[in-house]
Amino acid sequence: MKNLAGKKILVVDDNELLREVLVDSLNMHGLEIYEAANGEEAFKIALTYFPDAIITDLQMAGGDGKSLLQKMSKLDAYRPSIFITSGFNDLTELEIKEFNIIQCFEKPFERREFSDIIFRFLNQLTEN
Amino acid sequence: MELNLFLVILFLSSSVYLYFKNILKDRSLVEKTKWLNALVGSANEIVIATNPDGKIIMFNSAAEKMTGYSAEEVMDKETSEIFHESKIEFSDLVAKAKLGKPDVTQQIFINKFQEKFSVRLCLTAIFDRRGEVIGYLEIAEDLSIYNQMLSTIEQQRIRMVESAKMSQLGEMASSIAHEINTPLTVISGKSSLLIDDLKQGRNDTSKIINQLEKIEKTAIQIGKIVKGLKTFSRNSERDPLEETDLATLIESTLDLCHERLEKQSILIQVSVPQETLIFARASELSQVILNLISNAADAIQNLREKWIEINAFSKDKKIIIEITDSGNGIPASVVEKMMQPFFSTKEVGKGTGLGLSISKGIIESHNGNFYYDSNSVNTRFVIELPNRKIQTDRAVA
Repeated sequence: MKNLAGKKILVVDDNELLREVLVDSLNMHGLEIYEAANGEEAFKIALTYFPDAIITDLQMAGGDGKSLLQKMSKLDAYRPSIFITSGFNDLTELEIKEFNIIQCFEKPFERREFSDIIFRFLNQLTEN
Repeated sequence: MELNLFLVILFLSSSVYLYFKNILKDRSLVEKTKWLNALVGSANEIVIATNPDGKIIMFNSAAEKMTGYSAEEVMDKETSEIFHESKIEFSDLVAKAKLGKPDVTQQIFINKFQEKFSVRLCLTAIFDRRGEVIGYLEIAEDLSIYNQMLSTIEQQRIRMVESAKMSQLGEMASSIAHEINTPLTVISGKSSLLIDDLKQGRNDTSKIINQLEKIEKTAIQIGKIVKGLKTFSRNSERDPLEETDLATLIESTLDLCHERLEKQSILIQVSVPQETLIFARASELSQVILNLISNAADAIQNLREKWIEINAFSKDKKIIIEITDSGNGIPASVVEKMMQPFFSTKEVGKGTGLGLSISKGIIESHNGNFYYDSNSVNTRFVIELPNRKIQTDRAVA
């Protein structure tokens, strides 16, 4: 595994324990991790640190994931890669493209598989 | 001579006239009797007439059909010997009939094959002009079809309650799945992180304990949701009313919809005094409360201010549970009809239109009242349950 120093990721979930699991799973290889408990908080953090990828739940209290993605997709210069961690989502093909969604993890998902996929993706980013 | 002849003719013709008149009179009597027999015979009810000693003198075809006896078989026998299950009750009825105050009662009849069937019986005395009893008349209506109908209606009602409950459960299914899937991911995720840590020799005991505690807490949380589901989905229709702690019941009901309310950013506020004991079928009461919360959540989803308040207190020997939401009340035209079965303002396919009517039925079967409070500024439904605790305390004192 390459050193991912300089790569930034934002984890968004309203469930604190789940956020802990996601953060602990990714907290290695020098990766920089930010956390947010809802969509609105996430939008602010995203526009401050410009993470390479955002991992977010869709259904959240206090500003849901979908409106976060809608707002992000309207930005011109910044287009992070998105991973979804909702059990169910009713996103259309068009939205998946528009929001730049790389993958949806359906809860309950395997943590190892989750971190493998995220790290593999970030590795590819450093290669390009 | 001519006069004599005239008189003879007159006499003869008047005799012929009287002769025919009598024949006609007799004929009309025969016709009348025939007509009366046909009338009694065509009655759907059992019609039995007896003489003053209670011996049968008339037995119509409905009686033959329902009892299995022919009219010949029962002639001159007493009805109480043959049909009536309870002889004592029968003599009571006779006594009342003699006083000219007949009772309509439900009785059990026994047919020729010793099978019992339920009838609604009216026994009246037949009086002559001087007020002497000259006989008795028993008119009995077979209730078995009626009873069967009642039990069919009851079965349908039970099925309706069940299906409304299931449809409510269906509406909640995806949010319940989410409610369970998130903590499941936490448990499996934290476990696998711990395994990795231990494999790599990182055994910081206090960190491990801290993580295990979180896993335990999360598993207990799933347990609560499942328990709530179990209470909710079990069929308790025939359970007796049991002493139930209201606060616990409301808490486990909220466990089922907590996630949904949170996702819709609806604030929920509960105020139930500690140790408020009610006599209830927990699953049914939980269904009523869940239905009200679910209706409230649907109604206020697009409002700026979104809250639901559950407020319980005791007043005048009653336990009052008020469920209020941030909506500004329900239009009078809807209030009028909303407790009727199949009335719904929700779009087709969304509501069964049974929720409120079933809730009303459930609360009434708890000897309580269920109503919409039109005096409240915000939308409020009220459940009133008898405070059985006070009654028991009194009985003890």
